[in-house]
Amino acid sequence: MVQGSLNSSGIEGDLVSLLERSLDAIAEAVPACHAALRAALEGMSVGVTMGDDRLRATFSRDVVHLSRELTGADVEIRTTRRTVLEIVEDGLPLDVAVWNDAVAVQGTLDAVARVHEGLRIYTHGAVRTPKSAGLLARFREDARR
Amino acid sequence: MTGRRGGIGEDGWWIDAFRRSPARLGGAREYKEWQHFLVHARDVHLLVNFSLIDDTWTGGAEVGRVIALARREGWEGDVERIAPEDMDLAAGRIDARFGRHAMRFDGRSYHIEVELARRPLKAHLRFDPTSVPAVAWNQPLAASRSLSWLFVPRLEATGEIELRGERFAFERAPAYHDHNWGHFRWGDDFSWEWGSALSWDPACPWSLVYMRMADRRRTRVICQGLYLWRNESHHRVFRDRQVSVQWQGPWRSGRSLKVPRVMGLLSPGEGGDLPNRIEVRGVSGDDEVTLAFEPADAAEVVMPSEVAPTEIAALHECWGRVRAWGRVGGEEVALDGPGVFEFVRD
Repeated sequence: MVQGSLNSSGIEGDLVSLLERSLDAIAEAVPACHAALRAALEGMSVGVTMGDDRLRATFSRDVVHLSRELTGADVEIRTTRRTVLEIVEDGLPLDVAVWNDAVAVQGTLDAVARVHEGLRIYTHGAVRTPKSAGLLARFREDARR
Repeated sequence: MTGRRGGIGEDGWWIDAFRRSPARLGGAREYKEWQHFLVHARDVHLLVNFSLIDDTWTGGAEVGRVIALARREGWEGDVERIAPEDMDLAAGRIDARFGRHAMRFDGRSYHIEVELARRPLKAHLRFDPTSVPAVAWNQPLAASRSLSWLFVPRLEATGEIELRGERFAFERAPAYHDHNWGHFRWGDDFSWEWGSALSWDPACPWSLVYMRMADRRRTRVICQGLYLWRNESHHRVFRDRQVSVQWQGPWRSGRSLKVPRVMGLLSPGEGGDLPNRIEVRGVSGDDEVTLAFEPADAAEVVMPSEVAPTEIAALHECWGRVRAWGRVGGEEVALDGPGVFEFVRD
């Protein structure tokens, strides 16, 4: 389901590794969510930068391709791990984070709307997936570094 | 001191014992059970809920969940998931440990200990029942779904709540307890409204509970009731066609606390389709009681739907003022105090 472009020194806590494991876990626990996510973002690439960490996720009908190359993304998102934790654990509303430029989003309106729907579906999958707690703990560890 | 005695007592304790999921023994799945407590101290309000759930996302294993919400100049609280190996409880027993949290019954009073891991909220409380319970088994909830419940509409809570480093100690604060159990999925074709009404005046003899079960779109009422206690005893019940409900709304609650906080991504914005005033009227013969509730504040417990993978179900815990008036058995009914109404919505 997920093809990752990891080099031999890929760090387990890096963004690509974490998202790969998260998507695999969702595909296993809630396959309907994984299918809905691919359908919602089919044909799109989403780039994410968090500090020094970056990824690009490219969605096709059958797979999600992850790489560390940002070029060619339809939507680019720039934020920090701290902000993501504030949203997920402290209840910071996403719209407030965007308004305050803690989350910067760049893309056409239609593309951004599709990515927002994709985020919603991804979250539905993640909250139903037992392995998400461990992945979030690892994400939290790396945010403290 | 009211001098009232109520509750289940040393001989009736079994009726409020945990049943636990029959799926553990090869029985029916999709079981849910919870013990629920509300406290209305003058400076702080508290909701505590100990739940057992057949977890859809781990193959139906029985897991625990503790919800603790405190209200004082805003909300604080969280939902904590408790792994099976971190729980100590048995079917047929009230005493239970859910991780760092615990509840027990000493033959007269309930005791609860709550300490959230990631939020600044602790509570150490004793609940003394001052009313006898009501019990209803297998009430219709949705197609092939039913819910049983026990509620003790009036107790007195004594103890301490520590919220954001500030301690609140109190004695004999108005309190409420219920216990529900049944087989259903969040996202099934049902909704409910459940309200408790207490008085700030310890000398006031009245307390009330309201319930309404409906389909998910709230186009069809399945059952409803308005229950009136006088001191420790059941006094009057109005059921089904004896009950009418009127709404004024919608209520613009503003941004409310949503727990677990990650679910705020799936339920953004204000609480949906809630009343800014609800009036429940029970009429039977010469007996008539009206209960009015106006919410002041709300917190939301948001859960992933177990029916549809990209939907949610939400419990809106609305806190506010309740008033009741009427006449039953030739005696005037009057109540003014704190209430909590829970609304199940998508």
